[in-house]
Amino acid sequence: MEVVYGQKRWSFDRAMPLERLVEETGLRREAVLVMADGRLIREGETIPAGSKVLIISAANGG
Amino acid sequence: MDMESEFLLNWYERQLLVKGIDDRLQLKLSGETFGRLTGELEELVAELLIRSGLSGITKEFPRQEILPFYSPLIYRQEETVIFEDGPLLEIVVEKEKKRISFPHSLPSAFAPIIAGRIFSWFMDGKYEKAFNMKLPAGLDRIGRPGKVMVVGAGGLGAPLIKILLDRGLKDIAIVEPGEIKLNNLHRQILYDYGDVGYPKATILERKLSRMYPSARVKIYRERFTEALLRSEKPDLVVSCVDNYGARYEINDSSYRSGIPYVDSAVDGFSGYVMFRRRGLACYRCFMGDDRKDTTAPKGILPFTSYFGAMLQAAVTIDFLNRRGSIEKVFWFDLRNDMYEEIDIGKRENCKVCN
Repeated sequence: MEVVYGQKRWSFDRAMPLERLVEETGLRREAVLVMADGRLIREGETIPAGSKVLIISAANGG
Repeated sequence: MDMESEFLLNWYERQLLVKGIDDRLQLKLSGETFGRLTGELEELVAELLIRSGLSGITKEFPRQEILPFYSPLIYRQEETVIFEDGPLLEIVVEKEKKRISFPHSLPSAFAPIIAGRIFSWFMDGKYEKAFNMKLPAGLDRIGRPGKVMVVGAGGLGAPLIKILLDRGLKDIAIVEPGEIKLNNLHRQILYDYGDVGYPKATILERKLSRMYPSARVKIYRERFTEALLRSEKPDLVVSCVDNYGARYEINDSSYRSGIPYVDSAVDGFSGYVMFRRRGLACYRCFMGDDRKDTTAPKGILPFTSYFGAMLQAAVTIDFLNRRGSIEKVFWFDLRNDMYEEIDIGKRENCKVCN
């Protein structure tokens, strides 16, 4: 899967649970949301290997 | 550091929190100067860049009404940024001057995108040229009567209120308990330097009655509650707040009351806008139930919050005019020129929408 977060990029060749992805990208302490192929991924879900993944900030500013 | 530099850095302290922006960049930007401009799009792009710290203007600069806001104002003899019409965004440096062309046929909703790209170019010399993105709705005139409740009149709310009233909204209720602070003034386009320390509600009451005498404007200097929503009974709520807690409250109240709402949130260069109503997955399905607010100030750029407000206004107008509703969340990142639609399904156990 190809993963994008701002200007950072990662590539993984396997499926991965959401929690694992957040751990491996070092974003565990960040307030983020994860999308795969345009769909929001929730806790407990596994992201398929070939997905295009976008990690975004869980923005709350106004 | 001289007094002028110190003042500029205090003025822009909130955007210095954004990754990639530091004192050196901010002071470099303050050396740029705008002069004569042509048309509304050029003026809006320039205003958004001025609010982001490109601090100089010549006497020919047309948008004089932003000057009361603009205390770090530096009058200069010669412009350093020149705008021109062209098919793509192009930035050419000739000696000390930047010739920047972009398509003047673009709608005004593209102004924050152009400003964001120019600002990014000042950061690292890179920029996207083409404008292929599709925005969720257009900024039309409001053709049908309707009542809108706006919660929050800060970086998102202030431009949103102005855009809606400029486009013909005649009935608006504004909920805003806060006071005007210096470190957010550059994003909050309805307030001036002299308003700092006053309640936003007091200043809005005075200014909006003068600027829009034919509109019915009701202002509450208090926090949003479900009781207030039920007593006002708007056609639509627009959430322009700055924390998760208030968004949970607006979401839950709106779903319980059956009143649709539009939400946006911003952070640095990025943000989202979404329309929610009964039948669609709610904010809790998007963000989860357990987001906690901190008191740490957030770094947000003026063109980012203006873009969020413009998109909220476009979605609001689409709803008022033809009961249009976008079902996906629209997310944007003006630093990396990314625009995405996000599908959010309902959570099985959501206590609000399912």
